[in-house]
Amino acid sequence: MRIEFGEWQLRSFQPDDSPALAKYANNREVWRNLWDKHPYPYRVADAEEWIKYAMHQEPETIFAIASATEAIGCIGMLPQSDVARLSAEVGYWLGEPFWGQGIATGALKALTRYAFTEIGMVRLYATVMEWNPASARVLKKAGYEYEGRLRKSAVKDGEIIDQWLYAMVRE
Amino acid sequence: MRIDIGQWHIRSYRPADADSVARYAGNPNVWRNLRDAHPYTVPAATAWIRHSLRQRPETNFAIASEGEAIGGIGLGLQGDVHRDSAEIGYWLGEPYWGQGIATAALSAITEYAFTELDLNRLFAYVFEWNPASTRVLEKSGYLCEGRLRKSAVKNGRTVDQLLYAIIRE
Repeated sequence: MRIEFGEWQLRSFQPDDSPALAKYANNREVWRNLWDKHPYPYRVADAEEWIKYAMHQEPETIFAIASATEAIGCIGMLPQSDVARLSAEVGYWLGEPFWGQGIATGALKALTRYAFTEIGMVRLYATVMEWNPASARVLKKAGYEYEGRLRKSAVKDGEIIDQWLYAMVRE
Repeated sequence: MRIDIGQWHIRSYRPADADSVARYAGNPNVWRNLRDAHPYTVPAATAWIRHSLRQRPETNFAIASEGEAIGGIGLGLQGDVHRDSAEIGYWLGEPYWGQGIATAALSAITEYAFTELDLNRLFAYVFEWNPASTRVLEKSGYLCEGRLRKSAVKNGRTVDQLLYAIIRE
């Protein structure tokens, strides 16, 4: 899978993405906004394991955000089950040198369209840690709406914090 | 585990509860407010009870009279950055609705989750067509945090759910 947006693209991971993925993922400022499943420090072996996992998803739900030459981040969705089976949680991160250029917004729009049209999802949602307004702006610019504040819903970096819930529904 | 709530109590499941669980939960009026994966038949209830009795810590309990299980209440422990939270769910056999039993059970389990399991946050999702359940949550001290648009598919319909949560003080 490959979706271009401007000079960037959303595409399937390749095994040789692991050095670049580890280079950008191994950053405390990135780790601080993600689940603990994303380790810190982040080694090439962590990237290899993640890429193998991503490449085995069927349907494909986890993608590289990439320049023409290398992976610079990751975006994916986690389909839910049972009565929530038409919903998926989305998550993403971008290497710090690429922040503030609209790349995450472009990637999120592309993934959202793919999830609605190719996977048949009806609802996509994301939870954002309260200290990450940049990510909330990405969601808003991609058309997601604020649905609520989840009080004390996460433990991260030694603190118990609120998260904001954003969601987008297929029209 | 056993917690008394007036003439009712919350207790660990017993293998013999399978018949009453399937009988009460198999009622379409109960089913329409619960997940699709719920013990609606005796074999499913037997498997569910066996699974619940093996869980450590124990998180799924019967709401019971002296004679039988009349409902269920349980916690879904979350992981990773959500490890101090649990989703709560409950149901009661239709003959027992409207008597404050669900509110008493929810209040007791909330207290148990905060003090015995050391959780910080409990939350529940309620289908938009189930105001009786939102009243139970409100009476137990839960606050509405948001409306999750089109977040569930049940009984052939895509519906909103209300998110309720309570935080340990």
